[in-house]
Amino acid sequence: MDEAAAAAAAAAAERNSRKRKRKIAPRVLLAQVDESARLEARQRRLDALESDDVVAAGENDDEYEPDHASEDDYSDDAVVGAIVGKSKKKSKANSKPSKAASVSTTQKKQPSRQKQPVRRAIEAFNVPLDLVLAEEAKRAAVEGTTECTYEHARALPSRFPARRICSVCGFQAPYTCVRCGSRFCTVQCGVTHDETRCLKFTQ
Amino acid sequence: MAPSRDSLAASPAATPCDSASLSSSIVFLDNGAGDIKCARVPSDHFSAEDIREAVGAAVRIPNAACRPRVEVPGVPRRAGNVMYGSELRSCRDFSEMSFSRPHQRGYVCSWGLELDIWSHLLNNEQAVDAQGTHRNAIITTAPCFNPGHMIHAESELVFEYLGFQRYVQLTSQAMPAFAASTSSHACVVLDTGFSFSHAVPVIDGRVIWRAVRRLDLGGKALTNQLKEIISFRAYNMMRDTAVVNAIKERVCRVSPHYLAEIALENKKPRSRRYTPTPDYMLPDATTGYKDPLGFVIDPANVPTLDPTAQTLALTNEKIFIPELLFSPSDIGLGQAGVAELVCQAVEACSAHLPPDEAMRLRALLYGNVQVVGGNSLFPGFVKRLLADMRPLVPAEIKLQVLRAPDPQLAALEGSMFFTQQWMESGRPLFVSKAEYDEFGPNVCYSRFQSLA
Ligand SMILES: [Zn+2]
Ligand SMILES: [Zn+2]
Repeated sequence: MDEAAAAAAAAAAERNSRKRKRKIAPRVLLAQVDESARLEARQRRLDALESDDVVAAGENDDEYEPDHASEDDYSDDAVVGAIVGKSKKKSKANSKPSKAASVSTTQKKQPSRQKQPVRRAIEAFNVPLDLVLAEEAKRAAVEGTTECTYEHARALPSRFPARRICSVCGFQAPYTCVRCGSRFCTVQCGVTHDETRCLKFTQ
Repeated sequence: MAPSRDSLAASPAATPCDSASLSSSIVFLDNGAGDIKCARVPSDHFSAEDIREAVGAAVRIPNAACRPRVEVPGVPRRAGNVMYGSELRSCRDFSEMSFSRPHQRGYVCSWGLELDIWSHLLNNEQAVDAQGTHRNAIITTAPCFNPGHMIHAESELVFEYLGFQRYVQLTSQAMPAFAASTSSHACVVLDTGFSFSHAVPVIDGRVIWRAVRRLDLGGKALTNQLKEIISFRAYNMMRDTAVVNAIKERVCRVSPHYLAEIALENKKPRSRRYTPTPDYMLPDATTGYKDPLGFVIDPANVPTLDPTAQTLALTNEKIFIPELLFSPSDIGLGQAGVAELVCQAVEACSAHLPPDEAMRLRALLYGNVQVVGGNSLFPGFVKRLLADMRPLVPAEIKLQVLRAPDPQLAALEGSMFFTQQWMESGRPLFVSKAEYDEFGPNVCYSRFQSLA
C-alpha cells in the first residue's frame, strides 16, 4: 500500500517536473539524453562535490557577496571561484584544453590587489590541474612510462552492478531518472534531484 | 591528505625551542589537502625517540585561508579578513566560515595561497618555529604522481621564497609504510583522505607505481554531500562547512550491513523515520556554547533545551555518507569502492608473475593492509573493509587490515622514519640550494623520482 502510493506520487512528481521543464527547456525532455551526455552530467555533479564554497582570500573581495542565495553557493562556478576558480571556469568552457601552452596567461588577467607584489610571481604556477595533467600524460607517453601516471592509477569500475540506492538520500530507490539515469526513492528526492542536480548539469 | 578532524580544536601547548637547535633542524611538513601536519626534529641525526617526541608535538592546521563571518579579536587585520592555522583556536564562531584551499582535486594549484599558509605556519607555530634566517632543511609530502610542474613550483617556493637550504619532497601515500607500526617488508597502504583515496603497494621500501590505484572520492566530497542532505531536510547549512564537517566526524559511522540496515529503517512508519531523536546540537554564537562547532547529544541525557536552540536529527545519512567510500556508484561515480581498490592494487602487483609467485606476493600484501587517512576514523571502517574484502580474496590467504594508531599522522611519522633510514644508508636525499641554483628545478624532479 505504501509502495503503491509512493509509486503513484513519484509518477505524479515526474509528470509535474515534465510540465515544469517543458517550459524551461523543451529540448532536454524531447531528446532522450544520450549516454555520453548522461556521463557528462554525472561528472559535473561529481566535480561539484569537490568544490570549495569559498572566494579567494584577499583577491576577489569585490565579488564576495555574503548574502547571495545559498543554493547557488554550491557548484556555481562564479562562487566556486577561489583563486583557481577563474581558470577552472575557463577550462570548463572550452572543455578540451586546446591551448595547453597558455600556462600562465590565464592568471595574468587577474588584477593583483596584493600588498606585496613581489610575492605574486609564484602565482605564475597557478595552472588548472587538467592542463598540468595533460602535459604530464604527454611526457609519460614520450618517456614510455604511461603505466605510472595519474590516469593509469584511476580505479576501475566495480565488478558488481550498481545498487538501487537513491542518489539523494541513500534509501532504496525504485525509480530511475529518465534524463540522467540516477536513482531516486521518493517524490521528495525526485524533486531535489531534478532541481539541484539533474537539470542543473544536463544543460 | 586528511580531513580537518580535530584541526579546529585546541592543540597541545607548543614548546618553544632554543635558537641553537634551529639552525640544524629539519622541518617535516605533510602537506595534506585538508590539513597540514607539521613537526621538527633537532638535527640530521635523530633517533626513534626524537621521532616519537616530534610526532607528539606535531602541529595540525587546516591547509586553508579561513575567513570567519565576523572578525576575531586578536587576529591581525589582513586583506580579506583571513586567518590561518592556530589563529582559529581563538575563534568562537565557525558558522559560515569560508575556506580558500590551495589544493584542487588533491594537488596544489594556488601557489600564492600555499605560500601564505606555509609562511604563517613557519613563522608562528612555535613547535615548528623556523623563523628568520636559520631555515635549514624542509621535507614535504605530495600525492602520488605529483606533476613535474608542481615540483617546479614547490622547489621555487621552498628555496626562493622561504629560504631553506635543503629540500626534499616525498610521496605522502607511501610514507605510512615506513611508520613504526608497519613492520613487515611488504604492505598495501590504503590512504583515504580529504580529496581522494589511494591504495599503494610498497615492497621492500619501493612503491610499485604501476599498481597504485586511486578512488576519486574523499572526505571533502562526503562533507559536501552531507551539507546538501542537511540543507534539504533540515536547515540551510550550505555555507557551514566547518560545522557540517564536525557533524560528519562526530555522528557518521560505517554500517556493517548497509542494505540490511536501511531496509530495516524503511520498514518503520514514515513518521518515525524522519523524526528521530535529535543527534546534534548546532552551535549558536548568541548562546555561547562551549564547543563552537556544536556537540553530539547524548541520547540517554537529552539536555533541557531552550526554545531557540537548534538541534539536528540525522536519519540514514549517518551511515549513507561513509557508505559512499565503499560503494561510490551510489552517487554515480563509476569507480570501485575502497575494498575493491585494495584488491585492484594487489592484483596489479601480481599480474605478470608466474602463479605460485603471484600467490606468495598476494599473501604478503593482503596480510598487511595499512589503513591511514581521516576517513578511516569513521567507527566501523576497518571491520567493514575487512568484511568487504574477504569474499574478494582467495580463501586460503590470510587477510589482515590494520589502522595506524593515529591515521592522520602516519604519513608524517613515516616520512621521518624514511628519512632516517635513507640518510643512514648514505644515499643522497636532499637537494641543496647550491644544486638547485646550479641545475635548476629539474634536479629536484630527478632526485625525487629516485626515492621510494
Ligand atoms: Zn531518496
Ligand atoms: Zn536526472
